[in-house]
Amino acid sequence: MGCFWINPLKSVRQMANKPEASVVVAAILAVLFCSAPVLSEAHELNEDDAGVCPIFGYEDSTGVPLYRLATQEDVDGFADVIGDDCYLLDGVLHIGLLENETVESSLSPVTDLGPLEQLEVIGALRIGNVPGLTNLDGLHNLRGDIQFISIKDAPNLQNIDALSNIDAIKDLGHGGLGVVVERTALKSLRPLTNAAAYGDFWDFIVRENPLLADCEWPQDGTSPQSPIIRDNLLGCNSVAEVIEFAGRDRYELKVTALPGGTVSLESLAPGLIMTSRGLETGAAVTDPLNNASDDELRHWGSIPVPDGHYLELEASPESGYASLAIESDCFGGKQYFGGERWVISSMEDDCFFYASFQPDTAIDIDSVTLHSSVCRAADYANEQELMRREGGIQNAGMAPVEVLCPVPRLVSPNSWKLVKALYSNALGRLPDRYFDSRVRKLSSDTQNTASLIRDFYLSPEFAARGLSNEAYIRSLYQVLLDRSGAEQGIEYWVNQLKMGNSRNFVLDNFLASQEFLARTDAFADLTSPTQTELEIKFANDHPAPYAPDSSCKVFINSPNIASVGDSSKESVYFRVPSPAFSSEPLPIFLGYESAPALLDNYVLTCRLQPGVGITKLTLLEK
Amino acid sequence: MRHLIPVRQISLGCALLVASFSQSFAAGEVVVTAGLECNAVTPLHAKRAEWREYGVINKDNTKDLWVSCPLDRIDASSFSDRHFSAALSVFNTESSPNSTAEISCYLKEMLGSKRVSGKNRSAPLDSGKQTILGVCDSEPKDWTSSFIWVCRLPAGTGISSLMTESHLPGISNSLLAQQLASSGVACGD
Repeated sequence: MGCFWINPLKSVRQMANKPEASVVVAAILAVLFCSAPVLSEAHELNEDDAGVCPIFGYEDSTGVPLYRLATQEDVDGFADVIGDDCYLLDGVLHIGLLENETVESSLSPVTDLGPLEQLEVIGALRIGNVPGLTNLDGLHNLRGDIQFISIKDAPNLQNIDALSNIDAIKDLGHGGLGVVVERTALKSLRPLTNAAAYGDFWDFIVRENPLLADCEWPQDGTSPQSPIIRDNLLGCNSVAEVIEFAGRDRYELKVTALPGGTVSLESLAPGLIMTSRGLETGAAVTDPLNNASDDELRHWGSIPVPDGHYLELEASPESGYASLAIESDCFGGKQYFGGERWVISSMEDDCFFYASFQPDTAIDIDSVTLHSSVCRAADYANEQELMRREGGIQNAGMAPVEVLCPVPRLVSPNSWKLVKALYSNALGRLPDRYFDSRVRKLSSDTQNTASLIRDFYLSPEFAARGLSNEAYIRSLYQVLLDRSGAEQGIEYWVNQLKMGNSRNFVLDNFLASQEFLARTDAFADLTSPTQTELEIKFANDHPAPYAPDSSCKVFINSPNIASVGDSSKESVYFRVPSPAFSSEPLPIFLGYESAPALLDNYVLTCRLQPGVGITKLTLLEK
Repeated sequence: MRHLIPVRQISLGCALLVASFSQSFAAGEVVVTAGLECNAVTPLHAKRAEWREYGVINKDNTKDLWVSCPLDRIDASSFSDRHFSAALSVFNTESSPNSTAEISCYLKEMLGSKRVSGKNRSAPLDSGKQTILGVCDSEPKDWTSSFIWVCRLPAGTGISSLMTESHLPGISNSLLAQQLASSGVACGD
């Protein structure tokens, strides 16, 4: 349908109700404009025509027929009131509340336009103050021309896909002409961009849509007279931006930074608003919710990146933390990456970037690192498919191979660990021949822990190292308290030294601290680690761009547990993305919340796809 | 007909003490690893072996499987007088009743290709049972020597864990020795 005529009876009514000259002129112009090019298709509308919906009211300001659906109950009852055989609504369809209007307690806000699917042609669409509306499904049968589309204060409206059959914005005598979109969750104005617009003066007002990056006006017909485009996302903040980004796809990049560090975004555009929370490029992305769940964080922070633009991301761990592998699907398939800087040069789809951080490893961590050639095929017949090279074991066959890898643990008493830590941290070297006697003294209580520690920190050898005050404080934190000191605490103690207090004074304070005293009991005990981490590095030479993922499981064997069924227990299952980003080793970290028993050992089992290999295994225990 | 029983279904015969100590230790460093590190002694024996997440097992119905298990020895310093203790966990998956299997293992100290010392441990093991064999507080002949377990595994039996310790001399300084002693397993000479 091209455009439809105004019923002369209605036009008279409009003029009677709305004497403003501009409206009269507009109505006349509309009649002339619509009639000229499509005269042969045009026809007059009468309320009695088949399919034309009856009129129940008029807008006060314009006298245009008005169909107002303020609540969901109004929407649901639309067919009952209007009749279920009408499809042409010759006036303004207004959905939502008026400004400052509230929904009565017995009624519901509009959330679903499904009951309106009988409508095929309307004069104009005005949607406002509809916080519960997420899409316009139900208006999907609308087609032909429309005079204006106004959508305001729909903060959860994510798309207007239902308007894909609208042909043109055209003056039909229903008041203003054009498109207004304000304060929505829209990312794009498509499919309106694909429609046409006709008229010498038509509005295009698009502002304050925090996620909107794609807002080209209807491309066919005439251009808007004085478009207002501002306070949206990159590509949609000015006429110049709209022109610059015209025709480009926009993809959404979701960025998540877990506690322990930040991710900064650079090189996209200065002042780019990143999210509705107001972050910008150059600003850091941090855990916004303070200990939010992974799931909450995973969906936090998004940015539309036009194709052709590159975005540089840098993960920066805070003091006391280190970067873990970055999880992302921005480079094809879900993958893990090491390093701290990445450039996304061209996006081809929505993707995510998920940065996590782990506390710095303590100095007394016992770790065991193995070359992966210790792994073997679970089925001896498949051993021939495994290639053992200097880079590690690799599936050189054409089919997946199940491999088993023993992961040794190193267990030692805390007294032993403390003496090792004193040698490595206070003296900065390997233990000497006095190591055993010191352990023996500590274990037999012939020397208490504080005395042993003083021996090290007051020794001429330690003094000769010439550590700075800050390094001294950090060493005390690490050895005595088994953790990295918080920056605030380190600064406090450094200031104490600057104020003239001696290092001995600071050492005594550490030795007298409740935290240290709580540890002294543990020095005499053999305790299991409280946390275990397994780092596995993979490589992938598979030539196929989208090979299936490999998968691994970790089993805990407990040789000295009497209970039935616990001697071999599956602990962790994870997938290894394939293909790897490159043949560079791809580290995977596994953390265990519960401590293993003393003689427990780990076995890693992996189903390696062709081309995938394991380079090394490292077990860290804290 | 004999069926293999997954290790997780074995009713363990020995109830060993889970690590929990209140006394102080001068014990050294214990390395704990899985029995699947053990290798069949020849390719022929390898065809009888099956490696699972819980270790190596003899899947042959009739023939013994001989395996050798390399052990980790952490000594670190030539001037330190460290003794060596080693243990391994063995199991019997034989499901037939009264199918006691005799598992024999030899702890060998190797200096180059030459065996410089060796000690034997063996235990009859009923079906569905698991136990630990160990040699404790042995004084290495040389600080550069290496240790290996060589075991004969009858049908249906296997090795799930390997444990070694380099510690100050004396069985009282051996964590492994105390672990085994607390569960009634003798590991001294």
